[in-house]
Amino acid sequence: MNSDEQLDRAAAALRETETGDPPPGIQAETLAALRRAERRGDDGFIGRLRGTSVASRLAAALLIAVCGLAIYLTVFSQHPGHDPERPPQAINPPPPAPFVSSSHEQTPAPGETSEPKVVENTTPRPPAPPRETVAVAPVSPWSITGTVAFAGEVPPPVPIDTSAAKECAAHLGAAPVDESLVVRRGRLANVVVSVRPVEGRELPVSPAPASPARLDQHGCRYQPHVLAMRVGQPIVVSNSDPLLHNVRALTLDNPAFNFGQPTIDPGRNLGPMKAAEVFKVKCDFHPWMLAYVHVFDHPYFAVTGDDGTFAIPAGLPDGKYTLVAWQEKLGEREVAVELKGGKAAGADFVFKAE
Amino acid sequence: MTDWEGIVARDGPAVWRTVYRLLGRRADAEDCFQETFLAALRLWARQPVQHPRAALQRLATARAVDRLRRRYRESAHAGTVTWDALSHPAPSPPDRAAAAELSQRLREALALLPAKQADVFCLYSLEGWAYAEIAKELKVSVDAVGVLLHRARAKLRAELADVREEPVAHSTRVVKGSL
Repeated sequence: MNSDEQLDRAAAALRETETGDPPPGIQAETLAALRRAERRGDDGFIGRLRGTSVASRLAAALLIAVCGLAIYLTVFSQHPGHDPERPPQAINPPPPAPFVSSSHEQTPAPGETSEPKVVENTTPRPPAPPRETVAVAPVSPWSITGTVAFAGEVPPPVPIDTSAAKECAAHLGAAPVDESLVVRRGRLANVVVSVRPVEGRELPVSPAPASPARLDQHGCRYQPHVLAMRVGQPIVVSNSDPLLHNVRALTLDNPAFNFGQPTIDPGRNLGPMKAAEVFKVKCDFHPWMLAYVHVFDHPYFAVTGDDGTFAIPAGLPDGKYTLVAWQEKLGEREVAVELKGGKAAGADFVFKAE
Repeated sequence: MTDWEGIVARDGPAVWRTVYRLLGRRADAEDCFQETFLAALRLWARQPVQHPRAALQRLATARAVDRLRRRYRESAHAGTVTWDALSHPAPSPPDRAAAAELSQRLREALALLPAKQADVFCLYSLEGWAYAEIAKELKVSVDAVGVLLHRARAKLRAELADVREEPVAHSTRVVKGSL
């Protein structure tokens, strides 16, 4: 057999590989990802510009420059005393961000009732000094709280096939099961609940926390299985297992990372996340290891704990909002909520069995 | 607004075949499947797309080839094991084992090609596209497609030269650089 025939044989073998149909769930998951991407306008301003001619782009740039100059002249012509050498004074310093506790660092004691978990990593701030205030929109002192329930027959836990990685057997426990649907007493854990602004309004945003969001590899699993964090917040990945894991992030808009952690590692800081998106983190050595990371460009999100409850941090003005709940297998659900007097309790979701 | 539901339902199976065939691993194929449609979303936003399936298959091929390149370059450095290969230890019939061996070798060889050559080879030899179709989708001339394919085949022939002709029976092969 000559080398051309050998190549044709190899191509035929590859062409005839049995692929079957797309696995159930992947099409729905892809559709959900497409809708999320559409909502946040993945193509963006620059993307839309690509389809235009060079002349149009130049005209747009010129228009922007003229507008900028006009605004500059208008503003400074009204301030004849303006001295460019003098440092600017803060007219209205931004208010301190609300303090929110960290769900990733809270571990309720055994037997203790879990409080609603808030996903935010911020350090406590000293009380702000009293200052003169002018009339401002009412700000919610508390948050939106609620539960995520699962209706229907709870499917039995799916055992994980760990036969390919014997070294994990000692770390995984007796009967490791799949974490993609965790239901306890009719409530769903690992659901990300977030606020979506109504069209035309923007959510008030506080600075991203400096303390990192943490993802640990422990017992040949990612902990937490679902992590939510802010744009601008660093992420630290640690390895609590004395064996080799590989951390591969399937990012699209954020910096990709893919590295090995051969043994126990207190943490590798991968820097701040740059854009809002949802991405998976996988280990190539242990195929069942999977985590989802949700990166938000605002602080109003939470992940349900084992008791299926959540609490969105304070800071939202009164008004109507859409609350979105995401579950990795069941997709998204939305409910409309209205904040009155800074509170909106009873924002409850129900996911039905597929 | 693009009818993504219709597009995913209609063209999803073709995209799946493309990515799974090239990658040979379900988890990778799932990720690549999703990446393909997200790339399509960006493409759709930039320009009108006349033949969605052709565009999707081209995107799927390019992304799968990128993944192959990353996979084999990383595994060559890190000494990783292809778990898919090890997780099916049961002996296969000899011809199936030989076909699997050949497919695997071709995947490795494709990872070594320049991206455009690999794309042209896959679209021509695996997807069955004509030169003119490839030229249109990749925005190159028909002659250039011929040249790219010729170069791709020459390199692949060289890479596959050491494949044994007799079937490899009752074995699962561990890729280069594995433990």
